[in-house]
Amino acid sequence: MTDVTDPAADHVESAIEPLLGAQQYIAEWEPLNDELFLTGTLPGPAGSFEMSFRGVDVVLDAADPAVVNSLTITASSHLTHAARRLLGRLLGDDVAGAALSPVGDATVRIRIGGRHRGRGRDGAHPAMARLVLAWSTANDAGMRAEDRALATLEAAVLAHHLGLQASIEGCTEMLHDSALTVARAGPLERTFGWYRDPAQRGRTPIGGATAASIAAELCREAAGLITDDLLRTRLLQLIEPDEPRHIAAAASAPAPAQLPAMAKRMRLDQAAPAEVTEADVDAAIAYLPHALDRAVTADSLPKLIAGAEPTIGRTTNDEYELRLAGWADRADGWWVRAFAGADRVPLAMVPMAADGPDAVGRFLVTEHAAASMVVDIVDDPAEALVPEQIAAFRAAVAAGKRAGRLERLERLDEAHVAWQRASELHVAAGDSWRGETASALAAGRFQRTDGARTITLQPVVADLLTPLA
Amino acid sequence: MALAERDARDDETDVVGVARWLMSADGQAMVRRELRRCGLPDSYDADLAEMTEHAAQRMADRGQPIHSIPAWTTHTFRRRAMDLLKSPAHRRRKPLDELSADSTHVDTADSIADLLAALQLSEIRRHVGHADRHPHGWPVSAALSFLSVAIDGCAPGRCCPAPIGGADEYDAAHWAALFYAGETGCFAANGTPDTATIRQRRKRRIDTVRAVLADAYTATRSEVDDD
Repeated sequence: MTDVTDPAADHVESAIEPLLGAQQYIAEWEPLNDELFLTGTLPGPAGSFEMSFRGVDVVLDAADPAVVNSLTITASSHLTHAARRLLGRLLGDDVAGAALSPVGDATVRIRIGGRHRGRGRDGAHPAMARLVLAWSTANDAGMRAEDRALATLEAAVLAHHLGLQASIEGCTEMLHDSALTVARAGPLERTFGWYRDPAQRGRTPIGGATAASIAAELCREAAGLITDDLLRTRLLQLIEPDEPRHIAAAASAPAPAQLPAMAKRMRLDQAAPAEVTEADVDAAIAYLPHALDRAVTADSLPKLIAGAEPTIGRTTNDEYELRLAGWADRADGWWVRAFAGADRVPLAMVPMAADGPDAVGRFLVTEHAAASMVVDIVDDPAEALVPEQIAAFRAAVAAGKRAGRLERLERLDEAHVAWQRASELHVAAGDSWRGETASALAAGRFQRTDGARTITLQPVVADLLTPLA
Repeated sequence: MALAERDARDDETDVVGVARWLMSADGQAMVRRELRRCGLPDSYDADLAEMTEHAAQRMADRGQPIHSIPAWTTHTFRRRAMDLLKSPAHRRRKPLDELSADSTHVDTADSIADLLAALQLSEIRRHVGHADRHPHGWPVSAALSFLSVAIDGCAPGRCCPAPIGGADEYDAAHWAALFYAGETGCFAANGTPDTATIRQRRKRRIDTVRAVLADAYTATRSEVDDD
């Protein structure tokens, strides 16, 4: 049995209840960075969702977003009035006051907060959990630029629902900029409709809502929050394109810009000689299927995001091609890196580019190096190659997050498979506690120690628009 | 030059300072505390310490000083631990100021000739691979591809453009380097002429790649000399 959120009723209660519910924390102050830690529970097998407010970082459990893992209060000995008010809003004034008592004394470690009895679950308010979920996933890699803008718009609108916009750095600008990007992308059905993404075809919309209908609702709400008349008109025109007053107002607006993703897209084959065809490729080229199958690391971006398996093929004697089927314009700004297997010396680093519907990265290495190379896919080429055990842990947490996402999308069978995968990866990463918890979740026999029911939120925009293998 | 050398020493001090503090009793206590706070296995201590040291190296590469080693190391170690639990969220690399590619031209012909004679290819590759030293990724990408073609003898694919005539020994390798780095704007598209603008752009890009390689060669050679 799960609680399913009702967004319409969300912000009624929030004015009275502390947004993070009534949970217990251990409060301790760290003098080195002047940070106050409120530690609730350990993040479970799906890791955590994190959101930064002005002066307060909130971390919720990804497997059950009603559970608060921790709060970090920065510059705690010089807390601003706004940060104090925010803390009161999150924890309740009494708990917030008690939480600050260790500040200035690093030896103090106190237990604060507690559970109210006979009042049902004590966890974070569903609207708050949804805000943290939306905020922390809005910028996930793997989304198209216009999808990312819609996800950011959703997060900004949710922040306004809870009246927290002033506590979030740059929230107003984000609302405006994301609304502008959505407006420029053009008709909602064309930009976010089901037919656009072949992987989404044939799937049942969640609760009758599609990405396009959610986008329409978000545009409507954003139009009520935005002060720029022209932008408001353009948003309303997206929802009601036949409304004469919107058409008249929009006629005076500048022409919509080209989609950012389209503008940035590049093609590796741009300079290819016209006469080169597939038939010309030497059929006798030796192939290293086993080595190449094993080459891609467990924490490469498409594996983390969607469980997608990139393929590596040898195209000529020394040229190799990593291909992600159907990921064109989702991999903008990503890099494929190849390292020597033995000593992790960088051998190649190439950008991913669109090749028809696919994203590809082509690189040069010798046959000898290819037989043992390690390949990863990153969006920050300055990142170090992650050690194997850490890569397995990251893959395990990502699999747990995918499982949670599949639950929100009401694809429960696939969610169980993802939990099972998370369990295997956690065990491989040396984390038996999270492995057992994920296994219990996969088998449907997980129970919280306090007996409370886990919560399932409605999907956010990122759930709908991020690819799934 | 003296100022740059002093900065380099300071940077090295920061990186070494972070590594030393992580090995101290306070550092070890911090590592245990943060692992416990995130519920991570004790065996992750060395890997997370290595990731923290890499972050210190990135700071040094960007020329950013660390004012308080214990505070910075504690904060960074904690962030790295918490980042593991946020997977797959990734922060896209922040774009830095536009690279002054046009001003990076140096006389590097000799350096490249020396480079080919050098045996420290792995060290050079490691040095080049520190992508934080460059505001953009493409010079790193191109430099690695250049080494693959010019030193390892890799043959570029059939789609890769190649100079037609009058090219020097390394021109084809530079063309391949730019092509695999995604700098397709340096080549004429199908059926269009190789205009002066394109040639000029290509030359500037090649100069940048040469500068990256020369810098790597100089840095690794001085390390060997120091040893």
